[in-house]
Amino acid sequence: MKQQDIRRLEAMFSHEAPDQGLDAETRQVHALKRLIQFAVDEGSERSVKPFLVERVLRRLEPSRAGTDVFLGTLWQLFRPMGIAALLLILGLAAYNTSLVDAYDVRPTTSEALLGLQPVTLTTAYAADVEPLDFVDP
Amino acid sequence: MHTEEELVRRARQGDRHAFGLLVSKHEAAIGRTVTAMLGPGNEVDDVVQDTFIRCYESLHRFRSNAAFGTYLHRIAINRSRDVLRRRQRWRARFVSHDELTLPAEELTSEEEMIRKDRAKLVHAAIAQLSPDHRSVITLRLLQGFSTEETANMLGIRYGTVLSRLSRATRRLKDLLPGVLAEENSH
Repeated sequence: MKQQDIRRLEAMFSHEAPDQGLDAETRQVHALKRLIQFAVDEGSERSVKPFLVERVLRRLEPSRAGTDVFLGTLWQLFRPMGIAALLLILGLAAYNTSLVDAYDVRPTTSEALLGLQPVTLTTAYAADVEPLDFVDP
Repeated sequence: MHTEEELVRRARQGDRHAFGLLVSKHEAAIGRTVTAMLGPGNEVDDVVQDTFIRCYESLHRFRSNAAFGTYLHRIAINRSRDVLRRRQRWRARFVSHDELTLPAEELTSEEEMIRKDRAKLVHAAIAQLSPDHRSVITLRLLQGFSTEETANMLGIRYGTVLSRLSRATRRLKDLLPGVLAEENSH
């Protein structure tokens, strides 16, 4: 941007009161500024509810003390349970993986970890399905 | 009477009363900045509150050689831009801006009604601007920060502020020809 343009734009957007010598474009910018100021002042008065200071300070209070204590208690309470659950999951996964050799077909990693026997036509056919006992009415 | 610097220093040490005095001093200006960015509505109050909360939580990062007001305005602009992004992503897809909840207003006289209609038109025109253009209009034109301060707050170059300002005002003039002519005649 040229120095001349910068000077022109700076003069146009300056905050001094417009005088009679200003060109039409600058006068329009000042009129626009007044319009925006009025609209924003009016909108802001309606939108920002009263007692902002009190509300902000109240929000700061629990965030500093209450929430920290609450989260700390939760952490203390659930940490042993979390660790126990994790160990249990790892133990089960290890046990399931050790059974892989017993299967006819090599299972995928997720099947091995979850202890799922891979489904093949042979295993599906050999499924042990109990026949239903029909009672003659 | 405490200086702003002293209040900031005390607030940084955890003095909430000092921070309350800072909130009280800047609430009107931050309210105007957020209203200019988002348009009037219930979201404005939430964003203004959030601005002060975030400011308190990040006071340790505030460098005391900078103006506290500048720091607050930067947070307010960033928070407003987050809301605009969210609005653009979700709400604007399903709900038009006119349907956003506005606080109930009392109409007193015909003159008041006309003034409020003009304000609505101005907000509708600002809503047509991109967040980048809204930010420069808010900081440079409305809040009266210098071009250099605006550039620093938005992390853009001096010339970019002026060119965006020029484009944004041109767009607003195109959107508000009648209202502007009326205002010019006063």
